[in-house]
Amino acid sequence: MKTINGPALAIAYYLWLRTRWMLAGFAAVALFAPLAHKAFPLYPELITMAGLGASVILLVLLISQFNYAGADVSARESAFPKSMMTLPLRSVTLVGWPMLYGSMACALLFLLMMYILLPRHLFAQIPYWAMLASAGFCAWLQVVSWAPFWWQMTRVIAAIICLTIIIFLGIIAHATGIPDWLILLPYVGMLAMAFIVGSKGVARARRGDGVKSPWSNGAIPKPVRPVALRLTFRSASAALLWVEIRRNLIFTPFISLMAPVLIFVLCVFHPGKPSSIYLYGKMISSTMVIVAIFIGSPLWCSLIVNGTLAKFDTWLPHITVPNFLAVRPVTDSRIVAAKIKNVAIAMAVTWLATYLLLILWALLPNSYERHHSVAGLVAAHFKMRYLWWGLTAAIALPLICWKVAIQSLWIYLYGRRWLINSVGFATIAIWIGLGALAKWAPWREIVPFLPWLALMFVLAKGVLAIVIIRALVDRRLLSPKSIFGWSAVWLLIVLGLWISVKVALHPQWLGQWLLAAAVIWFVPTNRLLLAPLALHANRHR
Amino acid sequence: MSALHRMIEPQASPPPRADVAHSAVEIRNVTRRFGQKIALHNVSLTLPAGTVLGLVGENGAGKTTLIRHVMGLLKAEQGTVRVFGMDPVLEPVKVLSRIGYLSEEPDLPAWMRVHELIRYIAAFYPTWDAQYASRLQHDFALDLSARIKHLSKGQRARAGLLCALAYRPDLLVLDEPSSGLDPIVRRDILSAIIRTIADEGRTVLFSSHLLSEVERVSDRIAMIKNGRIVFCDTTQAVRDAHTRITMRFDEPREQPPVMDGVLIWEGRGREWTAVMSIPANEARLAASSLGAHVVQQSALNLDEIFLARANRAGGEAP
Amino acid sequence: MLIHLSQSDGVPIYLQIVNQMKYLVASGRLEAGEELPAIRTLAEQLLVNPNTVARAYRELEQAGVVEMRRTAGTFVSATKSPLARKEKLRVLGERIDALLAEARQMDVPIDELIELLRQHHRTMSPQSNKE
Repeated sequence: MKTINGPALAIAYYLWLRTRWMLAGFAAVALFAPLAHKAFPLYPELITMAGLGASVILLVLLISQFNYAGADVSARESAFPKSMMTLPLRSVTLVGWPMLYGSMACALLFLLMMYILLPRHLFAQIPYWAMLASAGFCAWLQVVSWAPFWWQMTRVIAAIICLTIIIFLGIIAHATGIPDWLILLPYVGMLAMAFIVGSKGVARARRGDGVKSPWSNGAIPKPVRPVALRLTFRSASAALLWVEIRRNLIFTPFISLMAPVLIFVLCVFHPGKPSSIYLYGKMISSTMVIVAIFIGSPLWCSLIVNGTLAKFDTWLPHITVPNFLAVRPVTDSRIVAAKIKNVAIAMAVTWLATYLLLILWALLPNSYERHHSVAGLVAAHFKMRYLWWGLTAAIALPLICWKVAIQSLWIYLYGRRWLINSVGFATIAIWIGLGALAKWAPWREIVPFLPWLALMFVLAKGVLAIVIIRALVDRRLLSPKSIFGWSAVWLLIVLGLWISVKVALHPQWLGQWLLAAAVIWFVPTNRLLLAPLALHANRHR
Repeated sequence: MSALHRMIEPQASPPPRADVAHSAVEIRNVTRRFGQKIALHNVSLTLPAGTVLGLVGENGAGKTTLIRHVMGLLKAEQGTVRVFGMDPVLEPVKVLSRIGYLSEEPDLPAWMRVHELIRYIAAFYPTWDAQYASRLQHDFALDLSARIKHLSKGQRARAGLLCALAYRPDLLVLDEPSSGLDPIVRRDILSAIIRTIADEGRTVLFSSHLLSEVERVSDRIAMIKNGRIVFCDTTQAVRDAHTRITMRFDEPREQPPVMDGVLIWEGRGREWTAVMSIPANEARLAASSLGAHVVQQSALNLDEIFLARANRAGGEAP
Repeated sequence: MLIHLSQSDGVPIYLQIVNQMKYLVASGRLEAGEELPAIRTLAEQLLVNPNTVARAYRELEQAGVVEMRRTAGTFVSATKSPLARKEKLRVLGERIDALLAEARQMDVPIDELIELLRQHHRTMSPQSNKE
């Protein structure tokens, strides 16, 4: 066993051990993409998209390793591992090497993946500063994770701000025609700044500074307020929900509303704006873009926060059930019920805030053009029909987000890292499969068989449901008496949805039964039922 | 003395549960693997209600694994685990509402304040006694408005103890609760164990490395080594089953004599001392049958028994 | 606290309690008719299992040192029952044998030993000098 001399190699070795699998993943993508291109020469975009998607996921996992991920992200204290803080090294060494390795890895991998996945002409168009942006991404994430802050949650806000600047600085500069070599300079400066600020941050954390704001006078002890024990919770479920709300609620609205709030503020303080934007060769009204951002941001974010919603604590990386919860006299079903309620509240809050913001923006006197507000426009062309559609959409959107979130709870509740890491890849594979199916399937021949396929699908879903329910009853997670009640509820939901779709949309081209099958597909049954099973397998290993 | 006696009035405790006849914990032929390693090998253990069982063993011997089986955190791959006659995995509500659990590092949420913690835990247990909780909080001097991450290790242990005691559980399960704690906190924990056991029908299962504590407080002691139970008996029986005997031979010897039941040999020349796992009178007989003259014979405390047993695999010291 | 436990000398805890209680009674620090602490109370103070304390009390009762009255508690015996006295003499006889053996090994003559006994007795109960 050779010994390692010097911190540079030691840190490199440590990071190598932690990132082996991600690098292997990159190698796999790099190997398979050209082969896939050769095998399927007619579908280069599909392969490229798949490769890019896989690369992004791997890059995220890689960056979290370079970050030494593991501590409470919302806390004030630095997330730099305490065991490393006491090593006989200067802070510049402790920060410099991981930052160097991280930035280099990100930059090179970015370059490599672009080179392999993109066709030559597209690759040639990528500016050099994109590499540095990728490096800066990793470096600044490290800086923000490892610095101590004065208040809770500041770290999250700082991270989002920094990363947004890194990404959009180059894009906006490029779009407004600044030459590439000029854009390079701020990025280089950004990397240097990352090193300096990062070292200072870790140095402060090592001294124990940085978590008390300078105006909080620590010398005077806070007067001890006699805290009375407040009223107890009504039930265990109420207590569970309270913790869920405390720790897992705020993230979803927070992330979703960042972009809309930014746009809103811009609109308030910058009344003059072009009424249309030239985007990808088409003229699009900027109003539509803004509305798209308002609606799209919560939609997109509610897709990516599924994992954090299922965790026991958003801000901590644990996926196993903490002892603290596991030894309480509650069934896993009850814990899952509290989670489902929390997700509903999170989506409701997110979308209510979004709608409020949307309405406020619409009322701005210059939201549509210099002298007209969107609200005025809507009032001018008002029809009852639009109101109904609007209301339906307004209710449907949070419901859809809620459905998507609760049907993926089981993946994260299962608590096995390999499953969670594979979700991204599995999703890509599924979408590729569906895309290929859509492209290649001989639709003309299949259409007459469609009702039979739908029937088989519904039967398969039913059989699976029975299997899962059996498993739930075996583990006493579901009482046989309540199966009847829940089935009635499910039937009511399906019927209600079917009727509303028929009444609202009158889809002539979709037969009754196919519509029923589509509704049954839509209502989350099996994956939702899996959630308590997954938690059970996590809690009782 | 009587003044002292009057100072500590016994607390009113709820009447004992009807199923006192059940053993509190019954583990039968449990085997557990983690990958290639066998953590528990065909372990059987019964804990009658109203007793204190001390679980001792080296680090990694399987104590925590066994305790996690009792709490339902691990499912028995082979064999059965019954607590109060029920399976803790299938009946978490009925079983866990009667168990108080304190582990080495009570992973109380760092962000919670103490009063929030108490309020939260109280919601789960119908037998929560608010006055008792308040008294414990007072005795332990827990600052209600402090965040748990700002508490010292001892205070965190006390907070965990409060959360495990306030609903007067029928079974108290402690997994190395005293490790790394100052003597004052250790005293609090021991005192909690005694108070629990002094109420009729309540049971304590605890594992510890502080063998002096285990000896003082346990009715029964079980030792685990490499996933197997080495012995499980009353404290007195465990002490009686081991002895240290010094024997003097007529001629000096190079090597100790071969004797059954010897855990460790020490000495040289004519005097040899053996730590044996057989009772004292049998040891005397065995010694005299070898022609040696017994010079001294003494009992061992649990620390010495443990060390001797643990050394076994390493071979007898010459 | 009047009872101190030591764990290093290999003597079982209940026996230590028994011995120390006997000493307390013999030296007059526990008077006849005085109530002993409840089993539970003593267990909590000494941090030992109540069963151990109960066993010690039982042994003391068998030896006639205390008497356990149902629901009233445990009290130091006022009278000395003859059966208990015989038992006491037997135990003392054993101790005397051990003492004599040691004295012989240490080469201490019997007269010196008796003088030593008187000295310790005077220290123990200064008011009953005329014994």
